[in-house]
Amino acid sequence: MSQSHTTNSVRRILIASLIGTTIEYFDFYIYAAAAVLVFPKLFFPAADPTTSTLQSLATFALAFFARPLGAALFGHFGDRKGRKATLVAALMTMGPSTVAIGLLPGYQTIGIMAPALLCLFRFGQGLGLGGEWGGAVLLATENAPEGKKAWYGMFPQLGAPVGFLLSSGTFLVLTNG
Amino acid sequence: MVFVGLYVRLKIAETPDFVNVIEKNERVKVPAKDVFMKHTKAIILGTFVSVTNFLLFYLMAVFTLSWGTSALHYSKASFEVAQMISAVFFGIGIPISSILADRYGRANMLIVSTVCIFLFGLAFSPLFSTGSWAITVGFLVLGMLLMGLTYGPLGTALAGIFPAAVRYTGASLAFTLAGILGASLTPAIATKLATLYGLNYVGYYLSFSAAITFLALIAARSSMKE
Repeated sequence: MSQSHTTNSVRRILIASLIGTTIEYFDFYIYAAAAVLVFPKLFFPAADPTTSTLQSLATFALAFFARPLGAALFGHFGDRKGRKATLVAALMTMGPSTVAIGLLPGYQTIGIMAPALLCLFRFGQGLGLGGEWGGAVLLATENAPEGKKAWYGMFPQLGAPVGFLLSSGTFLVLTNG
Repeated sequence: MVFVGLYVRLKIAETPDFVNVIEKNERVKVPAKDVFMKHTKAIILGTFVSVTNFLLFYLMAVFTLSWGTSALHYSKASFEVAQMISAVFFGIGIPISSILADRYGRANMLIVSTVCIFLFGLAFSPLFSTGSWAITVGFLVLGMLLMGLTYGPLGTALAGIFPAAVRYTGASLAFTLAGILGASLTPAIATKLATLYGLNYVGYYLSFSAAITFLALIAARSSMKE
């Protein structure tokens, strides 16, 4: 066994895996809420509001199918080049995709390019999430001492409820405030 | 926030398991191919072990919100607050199940929580359709607590059934394929079942999935020991 985990501060590893998944899940849930409440008007101005919402939700489903692709792609590099660099790359795919969605001009400004780019960035979000979860879990469990693997592996999992609370809290404030 | 995550991560060294894979020259050319060809049992079982988790989450987070605010006429704001309370219990269930998993085994912990989810599926409709707000909040809390109890050790369990040389790919694929099976169509299927056959069948759908996960856990139990 290599001694490299002695150079890894335990706290840093656990905080890193928790922050990573919190960001990813926050982004993911906030998109789901925005897909129903904001995006139909902004990106899919169909005559019928139901059609707009359905088109908007289709971009939400797109990310689920992008996830296994991200798992295979980032998994490839994670198993060949290393967990750490791959994890950063996954986060670099997810983060800018999310920022780009936030900055994307609406249909009124750039026409059909608006929904097209939304789909592209949404696909990037899904790819990133598919690659980031595994990296965070491996970073935590492979650095865990024997008999504490589940405890270490819990930290990336905690990102799901924390991200969910942050995103639903944000939307509750935005829609009722 | 994204950059805080990056900063924390860049300071971390490679994991001992991966260093070991390099030292022993165990790296494989195409990990995804190996996962499906050589670890077929692990990828199939891993996917079915995780599927109920996604199903339960999207039932509790998406289906209950739409059914609760349409068919049961609860206000959207109060239902969202109840969901946030239940998410706290999702968070509480994670450390509890992880401690128990380290003490009694990951497979055993997951088997117990999956049996509880099976029973919760049978009680789904009776608990959700009482008309009492307190019981409805309790129902959301119970569902999300069970979610936490099955989600906590799941990542560690999935990582444990693949060797280090294909672990990143194997665990990620099992988890994300389960997401397609358990999550992508769940809100739509649940709404159809509830409208056509009644709310009971949404619960049976969950129990059916829990039964499949139970069988996958029994089959994967020996490979989860570490």
